[in-house]
Amino acid sequence: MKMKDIKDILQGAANLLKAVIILLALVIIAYVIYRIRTAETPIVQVTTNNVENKISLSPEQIKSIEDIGEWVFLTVEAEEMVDTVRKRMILKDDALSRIYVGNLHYGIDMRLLRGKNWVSSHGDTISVRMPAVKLLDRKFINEARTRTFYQEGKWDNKAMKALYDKAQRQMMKKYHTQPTVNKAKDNAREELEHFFKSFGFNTVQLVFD
Amino acid sequence: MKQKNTKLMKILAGCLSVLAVILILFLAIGSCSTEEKKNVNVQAQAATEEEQLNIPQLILKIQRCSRLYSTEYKIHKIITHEDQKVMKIGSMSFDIPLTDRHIAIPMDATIKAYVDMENFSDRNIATNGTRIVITLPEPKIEVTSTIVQHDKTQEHVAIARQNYTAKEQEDLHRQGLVSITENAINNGIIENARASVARTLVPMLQQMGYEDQNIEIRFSKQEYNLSDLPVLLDSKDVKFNR
Repeated sequence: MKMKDIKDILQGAANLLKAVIILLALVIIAYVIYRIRTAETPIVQVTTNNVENKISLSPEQIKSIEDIGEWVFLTVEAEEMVDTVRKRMILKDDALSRIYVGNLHYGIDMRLLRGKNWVSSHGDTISVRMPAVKLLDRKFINEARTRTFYQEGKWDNKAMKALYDKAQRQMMKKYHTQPTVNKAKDNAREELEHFFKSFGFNTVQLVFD
Repeated sequence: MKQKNTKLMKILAGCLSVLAVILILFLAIGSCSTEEKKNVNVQAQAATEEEQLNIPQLILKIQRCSRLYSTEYKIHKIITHEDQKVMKIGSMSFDIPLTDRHIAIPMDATIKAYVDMENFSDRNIATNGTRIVITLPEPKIEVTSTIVQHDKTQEHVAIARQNYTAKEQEDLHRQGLVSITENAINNGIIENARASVARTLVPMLQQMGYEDQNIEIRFSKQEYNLSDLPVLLDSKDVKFNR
């Protein structure tokens, strides 16, 4: 066997080895791509150190504890969607749309009866004088239950406060109406008559201020 | 002969290379299609959620009721939250610089406790002429108002992070609400509600002719703990993981 033949064989073997190495490398790359794409938990993961997004423990301050005596006869469960838009010259307009939730409670404020003789009974008749039925608390929005429906762009806290105020105004305008107050008053009459009759009175004379 | 061998080897190497390329393409396409399927599923899910969101159910429910709200707690809480991006490689994790965020949200909540008087009837009253015993259902609590003090909210966001979105803040508000409610229970809102209902009803019964010492107000359940919270609290969006 000549030297040239040996060289040719070695050359061929080297080519084959190169091909095998390239093939192996490609198979390894393909396997890594396949694993990365199909792995349930990624090999390299960027996450946060507060995965459950929990708030930190902080104390609460009870500002007041009060006896109220609010007898509620009608509740309006309201949701109101309010939005705001910020025009932009070239880019898409910024927009924020949020849904606020609030419960408007209608009834009588029993605190107004303290120190007064508002009940008198004669035989099987009871006379009761009650304060007017009204919206008992004007802070009725539960902002912690607000849902953001759409947000485009950055919105500061001032915008959030403005939306809250807008929701409050819209809810008052829409739901705090005279028919609602009348309905609450009718229900108050019905419920109070039933309440006093439970004590054995046959006739209940009920007057609202 | 030797030339033939060399050629054969070259052809073999070429075939192997072509095979390898085909294999890579096949795997890549296969994994892409899996990814696409996943994406399609995610998109379909997102579309369903979007459809649900596109039709906001703006409920207006008028509910007749008879509830005697007796106690009101006004509570102030500063909700704080912080997080930082970390890189996890296997079991090791490293903080990524300039990715920390902190927020402090002051929130005021009003929680009221009430006794449901809707089913009140003569069955709740026991009397023998001079003495009267009234049995009331257990008090419940309701968060009637929460106000986020947006003007006092403080936020620090590192340069490589995005600000807290409105949705992220809402999640924090809800967690704060749960914490406030739990603490109201721990601070005796139910016990105060019982005493307060009595303070409302006793003067009325006195005016109806009963002596103070002959009036007794009872409640159907005596002890509460935090596991009763979902029952005690009439709230739809607050989830208790207990």
